[in-house]
Amino acid sequence: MYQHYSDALYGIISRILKRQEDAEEVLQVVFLKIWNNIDSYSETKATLFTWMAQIARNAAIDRSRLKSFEMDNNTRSFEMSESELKTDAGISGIDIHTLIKDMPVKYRLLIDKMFLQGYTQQEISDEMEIPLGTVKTRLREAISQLRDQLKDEKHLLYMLFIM
Amino acid sequence: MDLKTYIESGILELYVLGQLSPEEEKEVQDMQAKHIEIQREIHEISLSLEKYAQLNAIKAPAQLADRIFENLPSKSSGTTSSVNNTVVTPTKTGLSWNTLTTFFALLSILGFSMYFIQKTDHNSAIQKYESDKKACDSISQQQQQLFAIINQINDPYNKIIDMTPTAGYAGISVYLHYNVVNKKNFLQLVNLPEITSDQAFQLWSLKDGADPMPLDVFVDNNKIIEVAFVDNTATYAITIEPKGGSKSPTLERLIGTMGVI
Repeated sequence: MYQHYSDALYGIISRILKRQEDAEEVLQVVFLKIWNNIDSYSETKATLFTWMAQIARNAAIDRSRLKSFEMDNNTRSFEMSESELKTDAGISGIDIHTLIKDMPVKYRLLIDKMFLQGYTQQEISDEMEIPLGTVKTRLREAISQLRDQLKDEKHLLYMLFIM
Repeated sequence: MDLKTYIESGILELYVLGQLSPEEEKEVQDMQAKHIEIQREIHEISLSLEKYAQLNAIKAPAQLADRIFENLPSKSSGTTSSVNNTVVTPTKTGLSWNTLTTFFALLSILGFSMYFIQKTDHNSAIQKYESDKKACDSISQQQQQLFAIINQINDPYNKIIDMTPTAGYAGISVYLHYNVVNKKNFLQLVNLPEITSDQAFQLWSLKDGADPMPLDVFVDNNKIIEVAFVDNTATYAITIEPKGGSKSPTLERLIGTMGVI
């Protein structure tokens, strides 16, 4: 389980916590939580990864809140900018932008912020300046596009997974 | 809301992201248990996000694995002492600790999901019982009403009186099932005139030398209903009144009369 999921979870945590030491510590916490709570995981409610990703996001956000509190700064800092995202490459070394090349940046940003960085709907609404009620439908469109893109790239992904 | 609209609302995406309130989450779980389409959609969304996370994965430092496994508490006693080395470099012979962990994790997932499925079955059986019981109760109540009507009609003292309609209401048909022995009256409403939503029919008891006595107010048609029985009534009459009934009859809207003496 560690081998299969640790890097994906570490990817989520590292996007919320920029300092490597923090991210490493939280990954430890996350695996401890998974280990201790595996009995409460229910397959009928969510896939294993969805469940683990949730734990990872929450643990990382908790830590970032704690840190910003310590720094007497109550706002979470999200340092991932659009330009950073554009140059961001996955673990495999394959630029993920070539994989999901046809996806509009606004959709990618939305998924990154909500899924990888744990933004709430309200935070998205404030930062991306879209009405709160639109976030849900925009997210639906974004994930639908992602699903289409991934379908097209199935063969590439397959290669990626066996690597 | 139909399933397609529900799926397209984006609520399932928020569910997978864990951004729903506990009530909304419960609602999605109930919908998921009921509709295979929703289950499938949630699964697809989850898989695409999992792939996305894999694409965005960042290699965790190699020494981190050692530290993580060192800090995990043992779930079964006496198996942890020489665990660390086998974790990071799984041996090719025999069962590695990693394999065992995965095995037990899968086993507990299996056990838990079986428990959950059984619990769901049990709950839905209880729900089904409750709703069947309600249906049974209402059927037996209807049956009792029908029995009362049949008893009245079959009673040897039952008299059936055909209403005499007034001039404006020719063709209107009502029968009074009148029983002076058990003192019960039923109206068989065969064909009543159309009324507006702010009007109702009202039954009256007429006696010589007394004001008409207001009785039942109803809006039914094509039905048999039980109505009041008043001793010494000479004639029963039906009028159209404002909704809720009146204290004295509107004679211009007298539909007809049923003489019982």
